[in-house]
Amino acid sequence: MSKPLSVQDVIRQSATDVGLDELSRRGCRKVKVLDKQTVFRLIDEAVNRVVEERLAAATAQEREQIRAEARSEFQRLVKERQEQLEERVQREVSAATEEARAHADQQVQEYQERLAQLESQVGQEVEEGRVPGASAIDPELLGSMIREAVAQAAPTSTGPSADLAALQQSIEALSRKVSAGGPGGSSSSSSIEPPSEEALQAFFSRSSSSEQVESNISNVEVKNAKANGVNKNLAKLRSLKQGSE
Amino acid sequence: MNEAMNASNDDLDNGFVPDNGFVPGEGAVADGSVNVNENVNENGSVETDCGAQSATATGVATKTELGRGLDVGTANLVSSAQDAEGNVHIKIQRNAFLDIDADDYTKNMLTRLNVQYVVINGRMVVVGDPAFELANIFNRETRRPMRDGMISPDESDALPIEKMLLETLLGPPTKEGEVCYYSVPAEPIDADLNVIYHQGVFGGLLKSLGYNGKPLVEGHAVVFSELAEDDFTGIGISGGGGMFNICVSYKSIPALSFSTTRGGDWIDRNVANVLGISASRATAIKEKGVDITRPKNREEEAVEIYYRNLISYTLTNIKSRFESSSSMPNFPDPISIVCAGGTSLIGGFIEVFQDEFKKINFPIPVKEIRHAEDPLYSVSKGCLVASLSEV
Repeated sequence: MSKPLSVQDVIRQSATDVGLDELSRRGCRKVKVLDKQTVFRLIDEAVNRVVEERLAAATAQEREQIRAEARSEFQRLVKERQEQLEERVQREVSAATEEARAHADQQVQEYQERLAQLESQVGQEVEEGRVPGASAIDPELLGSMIREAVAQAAPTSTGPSADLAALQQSIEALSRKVSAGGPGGSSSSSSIEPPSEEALQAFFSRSSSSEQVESNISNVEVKNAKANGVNKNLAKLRSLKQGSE
Repeated sequence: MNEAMNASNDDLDNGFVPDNGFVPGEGAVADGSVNVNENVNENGSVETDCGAQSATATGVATKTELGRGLDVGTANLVSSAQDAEGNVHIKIQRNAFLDIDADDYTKNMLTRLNVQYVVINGRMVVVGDPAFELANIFNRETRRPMRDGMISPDESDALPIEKMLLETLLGPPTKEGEVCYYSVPAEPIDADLNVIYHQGVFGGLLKSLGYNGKPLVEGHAVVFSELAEDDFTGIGISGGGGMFNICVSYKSIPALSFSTTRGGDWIDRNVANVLGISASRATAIKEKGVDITRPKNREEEAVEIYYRNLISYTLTNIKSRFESSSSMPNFPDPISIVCAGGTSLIGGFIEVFQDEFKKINFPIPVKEIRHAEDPLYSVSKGCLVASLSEV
């Protein structure tokens, strides 16, 4: 298909620029002026008339060829515009995604550093026995919980915001698990798991071996008293036990 | 009456016993950690000098039965053991400590004055009763390892202090794995507190000392020590520093146990606030011999007002729990209410309790409201009964 005709370009190329002084010198006192719209309208009318005459004279085969060329040109133009649009959108989306991912990566990195810091801090406090509920928290276990939480929130194909939300959720869940070891960490004390015997023993064996405590307690007398015996109560309780068996 | 008894027994069979409750006939010496046949004579007593704890206290060798009782209170720690003659030996330590400046002169002076101290992380800490006395002299507040009946989350030194205090009270076990029942609060109804953690910490502390620690709900311990003549049926109330613990028991089985987080400390805090003094000073005023039925001055009036409020609050809660509980046994006879604990020691406590009791329409008939035989030692003795019953 030939290149489409630009009427405006043809006029511009065919026209000559003449200054008003030159026109005056040539003796032109008046000039007839045609505005651009009028020129286009006249051309359109002329072209339409010619096309109508040609089409009227054209054979069915020629008409079909013209129609096919027009359709083909139209489709080419549509496709070209579509590709340009897609390319531009792709470029913009890609830039925005890259920026968001960089931001998300930075936040993930910050969360991981914060978690590592907390892990270290909690581990140290557990070691020193300064954390209420510390005896119930094994630093190794806590560490594995944190790693698990981060792993669960690893980047996925669902996008950076989903990654962040997952990481956030994991951290919150982890926070709840950790704080549940201490008072008020949960809205219901009945949901808190009791510290294991092993965790308690490990904690106390560490604290007793590492601390050299200076004290005079063994040299000081403790307040003493004598109370009435409990044999009567004991006998009653034992008989109650036997009765219930 | 028989119908009521049968209905109650059905209730028992249906398993309404709280998990924390000590159930006669269940689990006694279940873990077999105490081999009582070795080195134990016929009546279950063991030849011992009670270890360091008795040697420093009396210097006399005694025979003690296997089994200890321990009241883990916010204000006081009380241990008990029974000798072969049936006498109960009590040891008591105020559950408090105070930081002071450490130097060699002070250390020597404190030892000469029979004042216990420990050095923790370079800081000198006076523990027990002397801490309370020093705090009063210098108008300071004591530090408390426990708050509201449980191990305090605000005191980083709480655990080592508690461990040392327990060592002085219990000493080493007569036999490794000797049973020691220790008191724990029932679930509080007016606060979200972690009873399980507290229970685990003291179980672990006792284990580290060589004991087989077993928890017993505080109000239930009062029932064991004070309601034997009522077949362990009635209401045991332990008024402590941090909490009031209540246990409704039927034939030694707890039907209802709960606690409230108002106790002696709550009175002290409020009295201190209205009088503009320290809480330790308010405690001293309270403990110097006030009779709340006859307050003599503004300070005693403040004490009376808050005591009355505390007793009313406790009774109202008991009543509402009675009315809302679905597993309450039908008591065939009027029951007794026994009040124990350091907070009940103030003069006129029972009179004011009876006075406030008359103001509410209590849902079951009560035959008497009385003081425990040894209010301060009652919980510890109840724990001792539980321990001895397992031997």
